[in-house]
Amino acid sequence: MAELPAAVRDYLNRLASEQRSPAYLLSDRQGRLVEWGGAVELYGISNLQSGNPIGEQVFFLEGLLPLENDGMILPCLQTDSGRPADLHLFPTPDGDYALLLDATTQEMQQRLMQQKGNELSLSYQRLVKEIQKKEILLHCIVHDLAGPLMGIRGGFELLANENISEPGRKFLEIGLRQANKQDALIREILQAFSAEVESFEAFHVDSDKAPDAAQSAQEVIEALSPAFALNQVKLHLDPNLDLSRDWKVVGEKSRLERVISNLIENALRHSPANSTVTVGCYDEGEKVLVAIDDEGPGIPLEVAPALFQKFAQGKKGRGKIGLGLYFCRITVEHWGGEIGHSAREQGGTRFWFRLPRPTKS
Amino acid sequence: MIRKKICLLGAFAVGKTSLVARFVKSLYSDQYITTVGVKVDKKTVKVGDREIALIVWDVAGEDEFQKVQMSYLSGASGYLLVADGTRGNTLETARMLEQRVTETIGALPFIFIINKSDLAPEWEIDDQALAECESQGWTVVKASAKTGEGVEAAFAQLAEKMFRK
Repeated sequence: MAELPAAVRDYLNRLASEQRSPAYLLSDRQGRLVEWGGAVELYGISNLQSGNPIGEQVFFLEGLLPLENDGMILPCLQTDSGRPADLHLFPTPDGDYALLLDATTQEMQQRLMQQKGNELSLSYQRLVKEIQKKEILLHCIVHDLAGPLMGIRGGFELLANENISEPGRKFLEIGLRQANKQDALIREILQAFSAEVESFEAFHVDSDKAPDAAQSAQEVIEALSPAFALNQVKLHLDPNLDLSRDWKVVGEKSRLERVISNLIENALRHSPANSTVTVGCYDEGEKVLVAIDDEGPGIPLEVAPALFQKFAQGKKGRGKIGLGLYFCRITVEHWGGEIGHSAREQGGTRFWFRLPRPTKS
Repeated sequence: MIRKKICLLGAFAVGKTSLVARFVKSLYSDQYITTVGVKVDKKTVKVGDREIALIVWDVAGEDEFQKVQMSYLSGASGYLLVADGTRGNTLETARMLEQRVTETIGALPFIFIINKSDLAPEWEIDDQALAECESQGWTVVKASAKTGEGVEAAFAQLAEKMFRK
């Protein structure tokens, strides 16, 4: 850097003297006070004696001198007895200097902003806590709603064994169907809630215990096949999927199956009779892509952006509360993955999620 | 008299300044006033038959906008790591600070204070989390700047640790 002209140096010196009330203390290499000057009293420093340890006389310099390195700046240092100061420590051939520059204005300005910022942050944290408390209360209420439902369903099932008329049997079936629907809705809410609350639950990143995506898909397909058969929709694994390969992913087995199950059930709800839902796993190097392809009408543009948000529903609602895909998203994202959907060229929709492969132990 | 510099580190609003006010002046105020930079105080304590002047550096708390400046710890003989029992994320901040101190300054004796024991029913930091800290060799003290519980003990334990080193 080019040398500053004398006029500029003089101006800077005057600026420092007038606005920053400089004070200095010089100590030798043994940490003894040699010399001092400037506005030391402004910083609560008095009764100084040359030759005595500097840390003994200026308590906030204890441990700092003699310097062990090139020096440092400690901004906004305050004591009860003096003004806030920026403390500059630097070595010279004469010894180590401690230079104090008034930081009253800077301290006040920063304190105003910092105080407001911290207060807002604390308010936000309190609000989040309150919301969580209310959600837990809601969860408890929903959980308790399931209790009497068991009795209602049991009652209906027992009634079905009694001698009742044909119209009576029809009404019984309606009652049982609605009770089952209610039960499914309650389970969906509880499932989504538990996924949120247990989002810090452990999952497996080591290869030993990590779940296998293809195996999980196979098990879910087996469990859901009867429901698909009832609706005359075909459900199968991609015939090109090589089951002998390693399809392990970061995650936890039961929740991975829950994610796959939610996506397949979603596909079933939007698949016409005589169509096919295909489940596949695809190698993406460090990651595995799991895809569920349907031959349904596709996703309407107006609902697509919010599909994985809480309470998102298709156009007609279809009787679900809209938490299944939300559960899938928070679970997959918690495991370091991504989730999404896309329109298929040949018609229908692909729902997919991508998860990292586990580390080899 | 022996003089030892110690620092208080932790997330913002965990009660570092209140702990110092309680320790040095036996005072407490409910009002939250943020600390800018560092505030330095002094108090004499007794360790065995020795009198020690503790130079207490109350360092501004870490938040998302500013990290604790490690140069404030220059020349320190030990430190107090402080978390707020009612805010779980302050434990994570304490862990990060301990790691940063060790990486930058080296291994210094420290005591981990969980402040606000007077609000124990509202605590988010549970005994399991504290047991985990203890299993890692941390000395954990539950304290309350408001009631004074554990405050003297925390500073006394740190003073003893610094002399044992």
